[in-house]
Amino acid sequence: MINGLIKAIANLEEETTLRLVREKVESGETPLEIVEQCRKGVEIVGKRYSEEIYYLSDLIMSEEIFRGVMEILEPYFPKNTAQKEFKLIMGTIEGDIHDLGKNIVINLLRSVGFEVLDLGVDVQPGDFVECVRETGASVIGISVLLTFSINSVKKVIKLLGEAGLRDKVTVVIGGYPINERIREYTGADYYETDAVKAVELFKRIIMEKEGS
Amino acid sequence: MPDDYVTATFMPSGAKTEALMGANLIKAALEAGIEVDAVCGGKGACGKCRAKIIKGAVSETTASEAEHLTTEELKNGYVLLCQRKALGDVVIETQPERARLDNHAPAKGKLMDAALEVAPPVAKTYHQLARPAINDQVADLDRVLSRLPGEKRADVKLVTRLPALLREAGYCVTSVVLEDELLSLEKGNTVSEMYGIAFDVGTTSVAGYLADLAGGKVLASLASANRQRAHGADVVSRITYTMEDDNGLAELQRLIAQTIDEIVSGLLSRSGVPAERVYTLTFIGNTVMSHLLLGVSPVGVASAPFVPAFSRSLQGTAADLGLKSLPAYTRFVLLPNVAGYVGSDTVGVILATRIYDLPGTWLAVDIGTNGEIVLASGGRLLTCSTAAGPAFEGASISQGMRAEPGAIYQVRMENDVELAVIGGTKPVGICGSGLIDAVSEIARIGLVKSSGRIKDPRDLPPGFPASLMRRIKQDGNSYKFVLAEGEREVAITQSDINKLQLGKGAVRAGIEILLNELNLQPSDLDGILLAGAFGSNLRPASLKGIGMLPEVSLDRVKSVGNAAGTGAILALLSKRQLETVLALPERIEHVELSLHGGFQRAFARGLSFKVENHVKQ
Ligand code: B12
Ligand code: FES
Repeated sequence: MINGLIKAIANLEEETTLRLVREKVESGETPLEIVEQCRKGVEIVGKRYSEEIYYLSDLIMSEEIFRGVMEILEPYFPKNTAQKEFKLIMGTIEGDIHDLGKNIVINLLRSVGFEVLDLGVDVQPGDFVECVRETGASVIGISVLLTFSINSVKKVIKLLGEAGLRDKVTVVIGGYPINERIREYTGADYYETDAVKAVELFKRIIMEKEGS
Repeated sequence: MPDDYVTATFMPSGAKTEALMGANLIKAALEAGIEVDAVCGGKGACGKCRAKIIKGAVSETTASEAEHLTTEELKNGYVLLCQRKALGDVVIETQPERARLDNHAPAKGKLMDAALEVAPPVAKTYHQLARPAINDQVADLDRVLSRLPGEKRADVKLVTRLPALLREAGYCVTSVVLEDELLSLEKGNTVSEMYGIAFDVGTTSVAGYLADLAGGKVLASLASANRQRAHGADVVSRITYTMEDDNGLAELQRLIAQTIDEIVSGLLSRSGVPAERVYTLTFIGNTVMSHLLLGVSPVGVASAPFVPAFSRSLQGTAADLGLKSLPAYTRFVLLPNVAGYVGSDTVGVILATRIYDLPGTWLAVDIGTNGEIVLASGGRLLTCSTAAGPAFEGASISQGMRAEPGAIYQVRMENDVELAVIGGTKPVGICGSGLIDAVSEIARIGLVKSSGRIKDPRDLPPGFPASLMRRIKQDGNSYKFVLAEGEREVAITQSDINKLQLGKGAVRAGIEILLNELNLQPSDLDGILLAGAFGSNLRPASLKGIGMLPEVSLDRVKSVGNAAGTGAILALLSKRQLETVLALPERIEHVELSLHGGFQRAFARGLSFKVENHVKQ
């Protein structure tokens, strides 16, 4: 069943979305229920994108709308339930501040049910490794747009090796300049530059991990 | 030559160089003084360094060549220079020297009026000194200095020339004074011969303007490709080069000095001005070029938090810059930068356009690889920089090329496509202005959705001109639009449109964010000034058509030419203007977009093409 909120998000109607979210909060729906509906909406956005009905600007807008929703819901989330375990962590590499692509991928991943820990931008290589230790994550997604920062990705891989974590962790990179040659250079396991294919890729990786 | 050296000859100029056996061809070309378009800095990624091997042995085809060249081309000897090594004497044909079509003419008319009070910081005075006598044993140096107002210093080099000079000149000399320094002494009366050169150091090209400081006018101007281009088209690849090569920084400094020397020599020979009469230089450029000019590492600018080594104005001598074409005493002033990506070129634009004290609300946009935006309103002066990307200049576009013969530079569409090609030849590619025109027209007649997607021809309304519809062709999973049909087809692909979209979206977002900072609407703008050698050659209607500029009526959009260069000229000609420009950074409020909360929304909006349907549907 598609309700008004799911539809509003799927159609990228920002004002309607935010109004509906506020109404739902007032009428006592739990934040989790609301987020679940939004998730379904974003899932439709992703589907429309893969069907080429939607385009990049729509993906960016949907993430923006979703962020607005989370801002409204923030105060209603029960505190102290800060999750400790994540399978998937993601961030933009050290020296780089471009985060639109990363945000889109995270948004779509969440819409298909993945819990993703977002480390933000300009993330130090050591912090990725530290975070793997703390959360037990087995997949890292790294976004890189500045060619200058590519070396820092290599450093993440090196640090993972030094920490004895390299075999346990799959590293996926993405961003405008990334190609097979750069993947090889950095030593990452996979790369992807299309948002929807990226989601498929993460799905596959995690399924394989769970299968084994 | 020993066996391990080979000769590389470059046609059509015939320039030769001796290179080590196995030397990279792009390095050899550079040694030979050949200009190569190494957009990606020799990484094999851009495919722009193509050339043809006429004779001789070179290393094997690489994977990146296979990506950029057709089998046919490879068979015919085409290579990417950066991918091959010389394995014997070779003769290589590179693209003919290109005609530079960028508009480097300094802005004329109104803008230059600002300099009317010509009062350069240099002063020349003619002195008929008393000859020494037994009852006048004043030392030569003091004999000169005592005639100058205030306390003046003189360089040792000048003093070594002094005894002979005074005696040969019969004690009739002209002094050249800059601030508290006696720069030079010249025989006879040369008061009217006073020159300076203003430079606009761009990532792509460098322009020099030789000015008569006494008369307050520009005598000659000359632009030349920045020789650093052999190490990449954009500032990031140049910085990368300084990091990857131990000599990289010194090499880039040497290349920019060489470029400047060549321009100086050209200017001097054209105007007949002797090098010794050139006393001052002003430089403007983006922050990275400013660093490289001085040989200072710009590495901090490359990645977050984007911190430059310096931003204030710096001064020194021609010798400090390693210039060989000018006397060591020639002084330079590098105008101040604002931030990592807002350089003195932008400060130059602010000075030249006087946007800092125009009444009303004005926007100045300098479009290049980087789009710098200035908003002036109610005494406030805001700047930001957006990463437009090289798409505007035709790089990274599938058939993009620079504005050279064969480039489509204008596109109109009514019932069919009308093209204008540089040099009037058959089109071989498209340059930035052609791309922007084309996409603007494509959007105007409704060939794309507002998302930027090229429509399936079956989705076009009945009655859509068949001559246009026919030009939409399948291209992999999407469509392309063919501008020039025939053997050498030139088309705009979906990915070209997307790249342009990202660039224009970023510029538009920057504009909207600055307006928003001051709670202004596009309708509040009294005018938009398009600056830059590149940006001012673009059609305002097309820039509006692709949605890069906000909705303002076209008569409010003015091209001001290379206003940055004009700024450098003003600071050269007038001490007051120099003082004004040095004080500008204090007034400028820089808005950093990287962490700006409103960017994403503005960018998403900026990406769209507002489609107006002018063609009957
Ligand atoms: C928007 C933009 C900005 C915005 C960033 C806003 C933000 N919060 O992200 C702003 C204006 C702030 C910005 C700043 C800079 N930028 Co910028 N920017 C761009 C631009 C125009 C678009 C990038 C973008 O958002 N694309 C849309 C997103 C959705 O695409 P994406 O990131 O590639 O992501 C997709 C995929 O790659 C993939 N993906 C992304 N991440 C990941 C991660 C994983 C794990 C996976 C699997 C997939 C994946 O999924 C995404 C969805 O499809 C590009 C030009 C271009 N052609 O890309 C330049 C560009 C990236 N910027 C560039 C530069 C250099 C800068 C600056 C450092 C300097 C400058 N020139 O201004 C500055 C920063 C310093 C400063 N003080 O201003 C250069 C980089 C060049 C290089 N060789 O490294 C580019 C290429 C433009 C250029 N050539 O000059 N920029
Ligand atoms: S491919 Fe050779 S310089 Fe880019």
